[in-house]
Amino acid sequence: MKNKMKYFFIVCLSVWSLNTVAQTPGYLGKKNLFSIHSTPSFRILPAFGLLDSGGNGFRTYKARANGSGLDSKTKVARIDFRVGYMRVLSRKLQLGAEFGYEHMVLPLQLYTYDNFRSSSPEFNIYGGYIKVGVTSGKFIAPAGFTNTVGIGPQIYSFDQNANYYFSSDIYGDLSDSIAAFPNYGGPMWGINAFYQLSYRVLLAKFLSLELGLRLKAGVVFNGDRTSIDLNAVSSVTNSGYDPTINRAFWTKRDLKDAVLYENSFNLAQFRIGLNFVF
Amino acid sequence: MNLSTSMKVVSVLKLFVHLLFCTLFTYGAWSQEINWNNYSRLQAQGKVPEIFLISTQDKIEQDLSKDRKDLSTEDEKKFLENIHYHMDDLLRSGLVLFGDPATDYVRKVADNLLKNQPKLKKQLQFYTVKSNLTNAFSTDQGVIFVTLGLLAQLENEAQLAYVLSHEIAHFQENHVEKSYSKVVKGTNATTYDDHIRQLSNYSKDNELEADKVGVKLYHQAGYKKSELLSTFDVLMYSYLPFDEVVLPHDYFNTDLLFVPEIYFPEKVNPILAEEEYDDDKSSHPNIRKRKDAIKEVLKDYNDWGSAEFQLDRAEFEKVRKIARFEGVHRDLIDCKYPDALYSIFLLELEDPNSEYLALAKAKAWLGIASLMGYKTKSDVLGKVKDVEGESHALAYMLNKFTKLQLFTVAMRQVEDAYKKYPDNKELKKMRTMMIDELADLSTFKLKDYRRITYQTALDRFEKARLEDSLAIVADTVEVSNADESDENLSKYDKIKKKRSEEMVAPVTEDNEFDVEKFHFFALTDLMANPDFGNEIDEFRKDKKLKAEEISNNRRLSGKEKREKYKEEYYLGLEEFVLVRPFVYEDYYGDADMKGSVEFEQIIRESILQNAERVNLKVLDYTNFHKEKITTQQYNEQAILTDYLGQKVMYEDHPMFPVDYTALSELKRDAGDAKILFVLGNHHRTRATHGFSLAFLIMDLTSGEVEHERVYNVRKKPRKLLLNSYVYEAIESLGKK
Repeated sequence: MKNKMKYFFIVCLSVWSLNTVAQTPGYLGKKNLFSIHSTPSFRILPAFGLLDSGGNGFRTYKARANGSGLDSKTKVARIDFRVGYMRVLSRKLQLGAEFGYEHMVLPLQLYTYDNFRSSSPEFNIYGGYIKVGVTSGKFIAPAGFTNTVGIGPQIYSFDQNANYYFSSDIYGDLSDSIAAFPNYGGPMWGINAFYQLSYRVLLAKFLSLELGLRLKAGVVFNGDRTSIDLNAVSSVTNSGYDPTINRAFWTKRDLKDAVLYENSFNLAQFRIGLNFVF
Repeated sequence: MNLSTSMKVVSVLKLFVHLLFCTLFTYGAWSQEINWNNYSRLQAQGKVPEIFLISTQDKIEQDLSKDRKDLSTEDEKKFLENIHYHMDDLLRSGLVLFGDPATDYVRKVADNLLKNQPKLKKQLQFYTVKSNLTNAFSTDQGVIFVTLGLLAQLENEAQLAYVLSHEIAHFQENHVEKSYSKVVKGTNATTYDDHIRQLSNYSKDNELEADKVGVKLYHQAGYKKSELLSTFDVLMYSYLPFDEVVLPHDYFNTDLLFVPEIYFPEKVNPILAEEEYDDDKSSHPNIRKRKDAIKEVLKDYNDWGSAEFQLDRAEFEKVRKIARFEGVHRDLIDCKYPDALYSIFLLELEDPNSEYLALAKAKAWLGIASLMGYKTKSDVLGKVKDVEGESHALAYMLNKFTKLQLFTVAMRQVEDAYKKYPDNKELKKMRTMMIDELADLSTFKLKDYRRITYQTALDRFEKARLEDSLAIVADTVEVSNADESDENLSKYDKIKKKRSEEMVAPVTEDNEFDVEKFHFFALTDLMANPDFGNEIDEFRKDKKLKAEEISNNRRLSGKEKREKYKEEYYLGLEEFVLVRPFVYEDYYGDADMKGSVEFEQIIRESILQNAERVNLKVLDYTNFHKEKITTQQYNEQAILTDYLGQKVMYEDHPMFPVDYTALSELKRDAGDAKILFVLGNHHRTRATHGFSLAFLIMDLTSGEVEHERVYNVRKKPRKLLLNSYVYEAIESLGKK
């Protein structure tokens, strides 16, 4: 008797021709994929002092409301908020774009430079990607494992409205803070690229949970179009503190270096979010 | 009314009743008369029994209320799941018969055994199973199955009565529950035959106890003592065909075919079965132990009856013959062609002019040729050294034939059957397929075949040898160069040359007539028929054209390939017939029956939902629950299941469906709808999952699987994920 169940699957499935390129791609024929997601990254090494000898770690410093000094916090993760759209072009291929926003309080390795103190610069980061996804293996897009690559511009907009604190006197008050972060005139620009491997778990006919890992790399351009007289400022990192020029303490170059440095800790990101299929 | 008048009225009434009874009896006998010449496969009849329709879950819940002292609550649930899922899988396989003559007969014998035990009788149900295994088994639910293979082997009703008594004893003694822990560990059944073996798997003590307890019922019914012991002989030799008859060496010989003696063994393999085999690894005690134990028990019984038959002997013989005819059908489905051929030989002794047997023989030979096209000889014909008894001669002959000889003899057999029944559509189709198979064989060359018979050639050879032996050798050399200068010859020279070639006999190195070339004389009539040569040429041309088309397709641009693919992708169907998905879930290779059923339900629902989504009408033959399946649908599903079973052996190669006519009849019901077969497998281990799905669309007109969609995914088959594959497959059946 050849109702050999097991035999069916060993023989039939391996021998019969594989004929699985669909003409109507998408999940149940639906080709539009909207996503709401985040790409959090965890700052395990810098956050817990594993990268600096002092052991303080890279922390964020925010001015107290009463101006009495700085509150510091360990920044464990960077979290952003992103929306995306992908069009399923074929059984495997998807093309789309995503846009993201992140408010970043830049962690600093030391909050004292020589004998001054500075709160962390804060940025609003806007980014966009053009991305291409290829569903791997035998999955039908958008379900299953997907490899995605993307590239796009990033805008690092310094948050001028944040409450900053700067003092040459460790125990000083808020009076000098304005001078530490002058008006930079325009945002910094950058370009990021990523590779992402994610898996979409189908939750309902129109909904899936996407989990993945994203490897990201990028550059940040100075784009210094500020009208600040560079000779009149003192850089926090490059020139050391000059008590006689107690103005514009953070140059744009300083900010760029700090952002790049911070980004270098976040090359690997998680990717978590919901996809809506229409 | 006086006494005399009353007597007359009573007499007339008696006569009327007698006449009525005789009329009914005659009608009944007539209605059940079987035309062996045009035998059609056994089918379920009447109303579908309730046990087929109740869902497994409902059965489990109903049984939970029973008191099972030996099992904890958790074990009881597992036990019930185990027994019900296993039995229901068998009930829905299409292999179980109800309302047919064989099942009715088994039930009648059982009724006779249980006539004094109405309570027990009420608890039991009896069905036959279309399997060539010699087996019977009972379930905890009180369902006793008897295989047709067993019925085919029995000598009399008494032997069946003892087998049934034994199975009833298993039920009475609660052996399924007692063997539970043993059964649950060994669920690695991958075929229904394995399944049947496992369902009849008790401990040796249970078997001996059932032997012993079964004697009581058997004795009470008044059967003969000696037949009880002979039942064990039936079981011991059940691996052999249902009879041992010497295959005459001239069995295949006709005016047009001569199979030389050298193709038969000098002696057939001896039958090696012994009563006292090592039973350490067997579920049953060896026959010697069982016989010894039963002989002890028999001492306690006196007043034995003398009946070998209590019911009509003719009915037994009819049922046994049905079982044997069905056995041939089952062997053909299972592609056990040598077994089928030997059974046909045995059955033809009684029914030499049966069209059914002639067809079956042609199917077996065509099957051998079709499978031999791409499988090894041992795959198709089995291992000849393992065949015992008289059937060894046939197995030996088949194995000794070269591939070309096999194909030629197959062509001869199909042609003979076609000539005998020229109006038979099955044979017409088989003949065409056989010619194609022959044309496809690289070693088949028309020029090698002669227009004279073997006997004529042999006579001429003998005559020529007497006259001049050297000429024969010289002629042979000439034949081997026959093609070289044909183009330069005139028409008359060509005719002369051809005729002289026909005259040449094949010789061995010792100048003896080469009997191994017997096959070159086996197609004499076909060689004389120009249509035969044309059909061969036609097939070869078609094959060449197809090869060229494939080659041309490779040269198409990417865009052209996509367009071509798109054109062929959708089938443009408006409806399809959905048969029960064949689904198998296993955990580390062992069958998970519960998981299989759940997996099957998910797939079935997904197919129905997606068909609705893409506006495809479904003729649903899958619904065993809610009393929706009819007996006709059950039978049709059984035919389709058999078709698929056969198809699996042939993979994607051409195949002649054993139930060609039944499938055509099914087409009348299904209209133009095509059949969707779904095969699914979910393989899991503690850490991994993987599933496979195959969607096969079968066209009833051609009897071929026309389209496949196959998926292999290394993930757990969650409902939504499965849905994406089912959607894609179902959607492709529709719009064009």
